[in-house]
Amino acid sequence: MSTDKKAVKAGRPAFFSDPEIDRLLAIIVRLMTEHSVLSERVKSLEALLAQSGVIPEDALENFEPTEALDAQWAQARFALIKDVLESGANIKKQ
Amino acid sequence: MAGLNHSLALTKSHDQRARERFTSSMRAWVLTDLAGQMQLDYERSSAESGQQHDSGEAVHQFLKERDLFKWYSSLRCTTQELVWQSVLAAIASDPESVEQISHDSDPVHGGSLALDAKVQLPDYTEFMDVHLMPGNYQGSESGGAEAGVLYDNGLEVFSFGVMGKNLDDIGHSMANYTRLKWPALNPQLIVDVGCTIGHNTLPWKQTFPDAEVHGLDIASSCLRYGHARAEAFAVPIHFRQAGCDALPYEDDSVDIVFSSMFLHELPTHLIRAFFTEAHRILKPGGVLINMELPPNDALGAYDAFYLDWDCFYNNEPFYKEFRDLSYSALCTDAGFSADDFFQATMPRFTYVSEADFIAASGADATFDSDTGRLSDTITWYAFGAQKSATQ
Repeated sequence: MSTDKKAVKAGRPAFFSDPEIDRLLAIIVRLMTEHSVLSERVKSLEALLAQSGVIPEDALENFEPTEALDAQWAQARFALIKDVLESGANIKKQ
Repeated sequence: MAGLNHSLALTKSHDQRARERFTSSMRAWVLTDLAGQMQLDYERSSAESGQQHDSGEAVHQFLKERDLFKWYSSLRCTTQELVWQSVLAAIASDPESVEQISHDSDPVHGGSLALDAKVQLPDYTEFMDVHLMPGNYQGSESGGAEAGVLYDNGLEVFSFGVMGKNLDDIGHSMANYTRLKWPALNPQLIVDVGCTIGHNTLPWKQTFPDAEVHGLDIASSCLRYGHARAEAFAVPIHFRQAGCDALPYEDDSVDIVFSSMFLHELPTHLIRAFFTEAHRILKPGGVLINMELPPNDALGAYDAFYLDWDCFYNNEPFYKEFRDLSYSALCTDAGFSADDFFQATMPRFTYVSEADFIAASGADATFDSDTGRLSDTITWYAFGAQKSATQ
């Protein structure tokens, strides 16, 4: 998703004495979104695994990613950081 | 919330669906809990100050520097942006569907699509994205039906389940109100002006199966999508690209002219031009019915402020100007008789029994904090006029 696609013509207003506060609030809400998304994914996965008896109950707690898997996850972490911290770009300076 | 219930629904991943669920929950929280806190803060602080406010604007000025107003407003803007951003992510991950919707419009169920490249968009649509929706209703030149995709999917997230199973409760409520109020009308031609993606157009065909139903808009992207969407529901609708100030119909040829959530997007001169056109094309005895936000003169000062918020902070520049007008004068200025003006408030047709709907919609219009205010207790407001049979 490019920044360009998210741009709003005429922008959106800020409400706090410093517009950076509005920007930080937008970042927090974006972060909450991803937290909720992730939480529901984990809950879905755990429910499916438990229902199907695929893994022993303690396997999740003991799991460590391989180097290759961790490299993939690092890319996703970077995308998350970029997406979250670019929130609020449409706020106009007063 | 379970996503769109038709075959144009985008393919969305588990995480995408979870993101949209969160955004809907966030909106519901801001518009109910946080909005309730802001109102309580207003009631307490205005009482303490001994001030009384006789207009929405006076309430607005009083609240502007209060913390809860700032929190509510900033979070509402942020959540509004999230609505569209969440859908843009889904569009980016499923470009094939958008491409297919843009081109696959075989009218197998009897509908049609007539675009007119000569239709000009008003200047204001170029400078501002209404309700913070990137690209507006028209989208980009090369975007095909993408703006329609964004609007349908976005409205589903935006409305947190309170606008009907297919985002069509307004259409069902207005069509059934019309059916019940004018049982002898027997409409042959019904025109929905400013129909966007036709989500509230389909219920008119479903309510009046013998009528021909047209959906008009100036945004080709929404019409392309609306056509594909109507075909997906197997409901024959004829979509035409046309402006509300030049309705492509003969005098005295249409039985019902309908609009919903449309007038507040227009400058006053276009509203007036639309009403004049509606009066011209209606047959004697025909009905103009507009579902809209209630007028400011019917609301208390706080409720007026609450609805006008969008005008100042949600890129809805004409919202307040429209709501400050006399709706009955709009009708009479266009040629309707004052005696033929009507207004009504009603519960959501697809959420209540027909008996409850009849009882509420048949009574005099009543105005309170549920009138036009998005929540699971919302009531719709409608106004318009019947064209005199003797004209």
